[in-house]
Amino acid sequence: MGIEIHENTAVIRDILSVEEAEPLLEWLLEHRDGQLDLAQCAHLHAANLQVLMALRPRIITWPDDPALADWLKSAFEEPESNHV
Amino acid sequence: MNPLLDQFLSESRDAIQAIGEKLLQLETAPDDQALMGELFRLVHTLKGNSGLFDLPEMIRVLHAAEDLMDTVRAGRATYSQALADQLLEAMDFVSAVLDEIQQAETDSLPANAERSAAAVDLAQALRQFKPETERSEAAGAAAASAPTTEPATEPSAESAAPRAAADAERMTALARVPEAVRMDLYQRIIAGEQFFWVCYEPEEECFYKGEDPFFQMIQLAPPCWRALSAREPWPEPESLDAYRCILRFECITAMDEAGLSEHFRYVPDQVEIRLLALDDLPIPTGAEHDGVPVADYLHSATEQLQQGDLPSLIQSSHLLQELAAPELRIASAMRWMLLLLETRPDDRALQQALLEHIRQQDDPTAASAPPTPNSRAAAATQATPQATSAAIGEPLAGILQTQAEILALEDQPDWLQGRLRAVAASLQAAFACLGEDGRGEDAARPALETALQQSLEQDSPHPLSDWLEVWGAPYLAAASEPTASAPDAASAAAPATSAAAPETAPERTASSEAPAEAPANAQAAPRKFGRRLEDSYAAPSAIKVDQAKIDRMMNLIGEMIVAKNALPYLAARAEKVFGVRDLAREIKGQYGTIHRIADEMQDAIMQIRLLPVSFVFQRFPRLVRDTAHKLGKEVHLVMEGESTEADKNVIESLADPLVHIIRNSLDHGLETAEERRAAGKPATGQLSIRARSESDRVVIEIADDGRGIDPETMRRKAYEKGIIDEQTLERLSDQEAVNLVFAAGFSTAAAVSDLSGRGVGMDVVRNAVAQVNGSIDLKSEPSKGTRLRLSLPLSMAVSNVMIIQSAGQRFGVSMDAVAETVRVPGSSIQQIKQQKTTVLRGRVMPLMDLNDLLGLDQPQVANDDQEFAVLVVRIDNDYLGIIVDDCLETVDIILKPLAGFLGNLKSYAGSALLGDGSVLLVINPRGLL
Repeated sequence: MGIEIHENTAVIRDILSVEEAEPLLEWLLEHRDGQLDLAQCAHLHAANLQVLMALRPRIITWPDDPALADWLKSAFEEPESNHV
Repeated sequence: MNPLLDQFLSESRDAIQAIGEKLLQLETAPDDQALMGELFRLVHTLKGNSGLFDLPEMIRVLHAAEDLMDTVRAGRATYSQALADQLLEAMDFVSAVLDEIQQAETDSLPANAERSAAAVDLAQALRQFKPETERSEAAGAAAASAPTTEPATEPSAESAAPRAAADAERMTALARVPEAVRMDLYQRIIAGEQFFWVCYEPEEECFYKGEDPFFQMIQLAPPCWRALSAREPWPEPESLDAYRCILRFECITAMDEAGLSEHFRYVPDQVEIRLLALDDLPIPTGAEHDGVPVADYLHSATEQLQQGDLPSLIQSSHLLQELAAPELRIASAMRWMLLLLETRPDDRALQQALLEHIRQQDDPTAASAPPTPNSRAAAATQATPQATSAAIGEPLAGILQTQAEILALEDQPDWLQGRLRAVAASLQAAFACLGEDGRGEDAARPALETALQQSLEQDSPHPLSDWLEVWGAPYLAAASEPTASAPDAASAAAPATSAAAPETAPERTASSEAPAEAPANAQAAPRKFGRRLEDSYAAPSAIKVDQAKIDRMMNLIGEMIVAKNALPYLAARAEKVFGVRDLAREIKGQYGTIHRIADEMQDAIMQIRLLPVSFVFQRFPRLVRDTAHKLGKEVHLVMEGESTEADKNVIESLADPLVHIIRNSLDHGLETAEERRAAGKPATGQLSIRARSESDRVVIEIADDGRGIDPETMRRKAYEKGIIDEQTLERLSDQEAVNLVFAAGFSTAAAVSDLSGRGVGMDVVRNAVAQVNGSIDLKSEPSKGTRLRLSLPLSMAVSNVMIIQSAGQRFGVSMDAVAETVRVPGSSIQQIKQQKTTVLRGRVMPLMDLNDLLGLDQPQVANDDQEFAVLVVRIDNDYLGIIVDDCLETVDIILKPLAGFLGNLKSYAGSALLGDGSVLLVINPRGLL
C-alpha cells in the first residue's frame, strides 16, 4: 500500500499507483488541511500528481528521489499561470 | 521471424484486401448497414491484432480509421468518396508498414520520423471526416497537435488564429523560464549545444490506457527547466475527476531529437518538441516600469543600431540599466541587450528583435493587440533577416519592382500624369504596410510626395524612380536574392504567405531535421506512404490454397506411385515372357529414378499438408482451465512438443478424441484439492500433454497424477454391466481390466456429469484413433496416475503394406500391424486343445490359419522344408501369429476404404490398386478375430 495515514498526515511510500488516486482525492477532500510526507515516495502516478496539483495540500517532506522532488516542486512552486 | 508475426502479416494482408473490397462495394451501396458493420469489424480486428506488436504508427492510423468507421456506422457522419479515398490511403499506409516489417524480419520497427509523421498526418486526415463536435472532443490534445503535423495539416486560413495563439503561448511559456536559466541556455547554445523545448499534453483518457505521463517525463534526463501545469483551470476539488488527465508537462532538455522522438514515439501527437533558437531566448521579463525613458532609448538605440554604432548603444544600454531597478522588465531587457551585444555584436537581427520586443511591451496598444499574422511576421522579419525580409518583402518587392518597371518605361504617352499618380499611390500604400516595420515611414511619405510633384512638373518619371531607388532598395535587393535557393527562405516564405505561420526557419520542428519538405509539402508532394498498393506489389511469402487442390495433388501422386509400381512387373515380363534381360535391367534402372522422384514428390506434398499439433493443442489451456474451474479442482497443465507436425487429417481427427481424454482425466482422474492433500499429494494436480515424433509416427502422451484406475473397480463394474462374464472376471489381468475403459458402454463415474461419464467416451476415442491407423495404450497405477499414449501415423494417405499369399490369393497387411515374419517348422507347432501354438523367442504365441480366419476351405501350404510362413501381428499389445502360405514384398498403396455393402466387412481395412492392375484386399487383423 502506498498511503499510510497518521492523524493528519498521509505518509506515501514506494509507488502510488493509479488506483490510489481516487482514495487520495477522497482523503484530501475530507482532510482539507491534510499534509503529505513524501520522503519515502519513489514515484507517484500522474493521476495522483493531478490530484495533488488540484488540491495543493501542504507537503511536509519532499521525496528523497531528486528527480521526482524537482518535478513535484516545479508543480507546486509555480503558481498556475494563465496562458495567453 | 516468429510464427505469430508471420500469421499476423498474412492475416493483415487478407484484412486489408477485404477492407479494400468492402470500401469499393460501399461506393455502389453507401447505405448498406451490413456492409458497413463488416467493414468496421475488419478494421477493428486489424487494429486489435496489431496491438500484439510494437507498431505504434499502425495502431494510430487504424485507431483513427476505426473511430471514423464507428461514427459512420452510427450515422453521425456520412460515407463519401473522399472518405473512402482517405481510408484506402490509410490501408495503403498500413500495408506499406507491413512490407517494412516483413523486410525488417523483426517484430518491431525502428522509429522513423517520416513514418510517424505520415501516421499522425493520416490519422489527422481521417479525423477531418468526423463531425465537428466530435472531432474537437475526440481529437482533444491532438488538435493542438504536434509541430510535426502543423505545417502539413493546418495551412488553411481558418486555423491561423489558433496557430498564432499557440505560438504566443509558446512565447509565454518561454517567458516563464527564469531569466538566469535562459541566459545560461543562451550561452550554451552559442557554445554549440542544442536544446529542445518539450511540451507534453497527455490526452484526457490516457490513464485508461495504462499510461503514466509523469513517469514518462521523469524518465527523461534531468531537464534544464521544467514546468507542470494544467491545460485548463483546476475544477473545484469536489468535482475533480482524478482520471481525466488535464496535465501539461513542459521542459527544456539537452537530449537529442532522435532520443526524444523515440522516447515519445507512442504519443507523437501529444508532444511538441522544438529546437530552441537563439532568438527565442531574449525575452525581457519583470515588473512594469514607469518613468524610465524607454521611448528615448528606443529611438536612439534604433538609430545607433542602424549606423552600427555599437559603443554608443552599449553605453546607452548601461545607462538605462543603471536607471532602472533590477526587477523591472526594462532592466531585464537591458541585461539581455548587453549580453547580445557582448556575445553577438554582429548579429543585428537579434538586437533588433529585442528592441522590437521592448517596443511592443512598452506600447500598451501593441502589447495588448492580439498577435496578428502581420505583426508577428514583422517581428519575425527582424528575428532572421534574410529569410524573413524575403518573407515580408516578397509580395511587396513584387509591387515595388513592377512600379520600377513602369517608371522605367521610355514612352511618353498622354496619360503619363495618371500613370505617375498611380505609381505613387501604389508606392504609398506599399510603404504604409511597412509602418510597423520601425522604418522611418514618416520621412518616406513627404519625400514620395515631393518626388511625385517633381515628376508631374517635369513630365518625367525620374524623380519618382530616384525616390524608389533610395527607399525601396533594401526590399528590391531582398527580392532579387535567389529566394528559392535557400531552403530556409523557402520554408519561411511558405507559411508567411499563407498568413498563418510565424514559425521561421530556426524554429525547426521535430521532423524537419529530415528534409524540411517532409511534412510541409505533404499536401503538394505525395508522401512516400501515399503510393497505391498496386504500384509495388510485394509478393506475399505464403499463399492460401484450397484444401481440395492439395487433396487432388495427393491423389495424383498416389496414382503415380501405383503406376510407378507397375514398372517392376513390366521388367519381370520383359525378362520372363519376352526374354530380353537387358531391357529388363534398363527398366529397373529407370524405375529406380522414377521411384526416387516420386518419393520426394510425395514427401513434398505431405509437407504441405503437415500441421503442428499446436493446432489442436492451443485450445487446451482454456479447456483445462474452464473444466477444472467447473469441477472445483486445481490443475496445472503442461504442454510439450507443440511444434511436432503431422498430416492435417491426422491432426484434425485427433481433436475430438483428445478433448474426450482430457475431460476424462480432469473428471475421473484428478482429485479435488482436499482429496489430494489427504492422499499426501500437492493440492494442484498436474496434467501433461506431450507430443513427439517417433520415426514415422507421432506419439502423444496424456498423463495425469490423479487417482489412477483401480483394476478391481473396473472388473466389478464391467461384470455388473454385463460386459464380461464371471469367467472372464476371474481371468482378467490388471492391465486387461484397466483396458476395459475402452469397452463400449462402459462408464465408472457414479454420477453422469455434463463433462464425461456417459459411457461414450473411451470407446469412441479408441475408434477415432483406430480410424487414422493409430493405436492407443493406457497405463494406470492406482493413486499414482494414468498415462494414455496415442501413436499415430504421420500421414494416412499412402500406406505401406506387406503382400502375403494364401489360398492362391494375395492380400495386404498394413506394415504398422506387422511385428515380424518368421518361418516356423511344422514340428514346432503344438496343438493345445483347438488352438495351434508355438514358442517364439521363449514366449508362447497363438497361431491361426489365415484361411480359417477368412473362411477359405483350404489348408495352409508349407514350403519345401515343411516350414510355415507366419506373420506376427500386433493387436492391442498382444501378439498373434497368422499362418499364411507366403510373405511377399511390401508396397506403397493408396488405401481406399470399402464402400457400400462391403463397408460392413470388418475383416478388411480396404482395397488398393496394384501396379499390375489387380485389386489388393488389405486385411484388418483386429477385425479378423
